[in-house]
Amino acid sequence: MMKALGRAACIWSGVWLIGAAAAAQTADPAKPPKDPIGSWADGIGLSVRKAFDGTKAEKSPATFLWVRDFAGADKEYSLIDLAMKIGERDLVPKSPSMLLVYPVGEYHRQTQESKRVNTAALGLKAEFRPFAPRVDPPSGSPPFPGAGAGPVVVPLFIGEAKIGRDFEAGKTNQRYSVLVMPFSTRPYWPGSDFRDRAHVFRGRYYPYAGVEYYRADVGTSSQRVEFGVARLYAEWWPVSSLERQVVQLTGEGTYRRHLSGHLFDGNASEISFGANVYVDGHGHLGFGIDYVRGEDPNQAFAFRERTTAGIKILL
Amino acid sequence: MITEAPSQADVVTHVKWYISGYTQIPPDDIQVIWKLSEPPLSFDDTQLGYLALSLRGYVQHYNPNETVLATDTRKNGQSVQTLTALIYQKVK
Repeated sequence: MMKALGRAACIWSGVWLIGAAAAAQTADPAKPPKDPIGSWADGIGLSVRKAFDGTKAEKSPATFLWVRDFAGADKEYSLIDLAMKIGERDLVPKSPSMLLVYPVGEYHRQTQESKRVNTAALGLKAEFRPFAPRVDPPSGSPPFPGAGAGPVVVPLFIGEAKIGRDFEAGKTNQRYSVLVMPFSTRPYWPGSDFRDRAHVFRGRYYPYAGVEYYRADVGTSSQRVEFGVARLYAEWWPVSSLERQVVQLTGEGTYRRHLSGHLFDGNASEISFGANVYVDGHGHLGFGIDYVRGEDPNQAFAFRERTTAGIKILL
Repeated sequence: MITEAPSQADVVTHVKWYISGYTQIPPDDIQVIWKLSEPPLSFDDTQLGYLALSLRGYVQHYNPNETVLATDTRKNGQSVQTLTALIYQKVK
């Protein structure tokens, strides 16, 4: 296991160096790099992430990993974290508000004998933006009086309904959640950008709060649990230029306060960190490493601590 | 009262103004070949949804029968140039 992680770390370090060299290249602004991968995905309305569950995984690429561990008990195992959404529909397209709904599908698999995971889920997700935020450019005049007016901070509501199947345990589960997130265009506020003096994008953060409801089969009956949720996501791009984004660092913490139900007794929490190197310079294809620790809501809140490395795809 | 539609050059200026409001990059520094979801602009999907909502208000000021959708701003490869061309078609 350590040899496999060591090999992964060597590969990842090499890609880091390649990525840094890629970021240092001076691109011709008159000829922006082509993006055939992104163009193909857009053509079929496809988005690919690690998960669509309201966590940092939505901003993380899907992971495909194959490990050859010569010294471990499991000589060979694979890990897949994949989520897709196809298409989205605005239910109030001509309103000052925006209500988006779209179907999502997820598949997570790990074949390591001691930590086998084989789950799939289908669901419906919604995003509600009641109104647009205030827009304050550093210079220039508004197109007309009142253009860009709005609150400095606006809410974004995210709702989800998902049904899943745990093929290892032979059980079905349900998940429903409503989260709210503040958003602003004002620098350094939630949802807005951190940029350096050369206007290179460096990072942003999102806080969330809301409620989650889980129901799962337990033996011959089903049990439920409700949580109050607080979450903070942040990303940082330490190796990037004006033309290329190469290295992404992500972090997230989630605290679930038990409200009712017995599917899981007590409070639950998770922390996760990730580092990705995008060899295409656009954030679509690369390599990365992830660390997660805490109760896994996708595994009936079983505790897990895991480090993985592999190929990342984000469309 | 009918609001006179802006010229195509005006639409470029106006769209840059909105993008500048989200990125804090001065409008005059924004190049039309830049793609919305890629560096230097680096919009994510959350921001692109709000950008669509902001531009919806802009478009409907000139043409209440038109709108801007999140799919317009989230389209892969959407640049400032292609976005302004789309917006111009909606306001003229």
